[in-house]
Amino acid sequence: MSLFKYSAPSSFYPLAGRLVPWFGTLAFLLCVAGLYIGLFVAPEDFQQGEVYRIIFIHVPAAWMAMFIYLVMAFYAVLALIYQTRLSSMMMEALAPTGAIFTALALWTGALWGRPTWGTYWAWDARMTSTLILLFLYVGYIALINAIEDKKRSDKAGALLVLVGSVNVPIIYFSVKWWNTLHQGASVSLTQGNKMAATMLLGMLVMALACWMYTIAVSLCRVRAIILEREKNAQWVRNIREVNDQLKVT
Amino acid sequence: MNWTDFFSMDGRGFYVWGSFGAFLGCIVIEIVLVRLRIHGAQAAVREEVVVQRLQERQ
Repeated sequence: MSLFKYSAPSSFYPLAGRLVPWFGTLAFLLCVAGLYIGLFVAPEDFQQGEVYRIIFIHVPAAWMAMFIYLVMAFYAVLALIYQTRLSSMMMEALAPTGAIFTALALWTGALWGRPTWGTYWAWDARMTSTLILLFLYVGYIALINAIEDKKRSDKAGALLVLVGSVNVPIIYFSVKWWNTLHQGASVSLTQGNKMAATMLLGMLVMALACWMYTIAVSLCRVRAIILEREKNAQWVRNIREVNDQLKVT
Repeated sequence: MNWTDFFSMDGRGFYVWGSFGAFLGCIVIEIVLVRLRIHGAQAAVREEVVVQRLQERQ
């Protein structure tokens, strides 16, 4: 059995349906564990006091904002080179969740910035490039909905996502390249960790929860997109969810 | 544990709970919207099937 068969919407639709409950349950359990560690187990920060607990939401949201965009860029490459319909559908399914995480990163950052820096917002490189990322997500959603011909809208969307992906390394390295109000990374792949172990654990568990949530919600959304786009295909008319309801009514 | 201290968060409860509340609120709203979208898509397909079957009978 080849994995490539799942690049066809008709094969992917039932597979996604089977995966959603697993990823959804994992996301819920990890979120409960992460919030428990973040709010009850992790110690108070010696400098910032209790307000630092925003980190358990802010950092996972910011990581997901960047990561989801990179995943969309990967699908954009597949869509442009191989013309796979499912890649464009996955991009469409991921974009709203990416936009929500970006908005959450900005919102929680503002609420964290006020008590620690004395301001909700500053036009520094990290914050401004994250705001541009939000505009890229919103722009992508607006663009694909503005063009009626799906082939053209998929192509235009994929190009926008690819061009915009240049912004992700700018966000990540902005605190190194420029003198920003935003602090540098507390967790780095090359320089290790500068936090207490329980703080890091809570943050990583929350990041994993966000990851599982993103997979669950985007798989669920892509199922809706598949039905919307392929509603005239015969296989869609034979799916269980449609026929079971028809028998009842 | 004192719950009043817990909710006050050193007097910065607005910032902490404003962040956690927005996070949970966004997730709940997104889940509801996605469920509505998939149920809407399934209903649209059912409608097409019913129309097709009626046309076949005629």
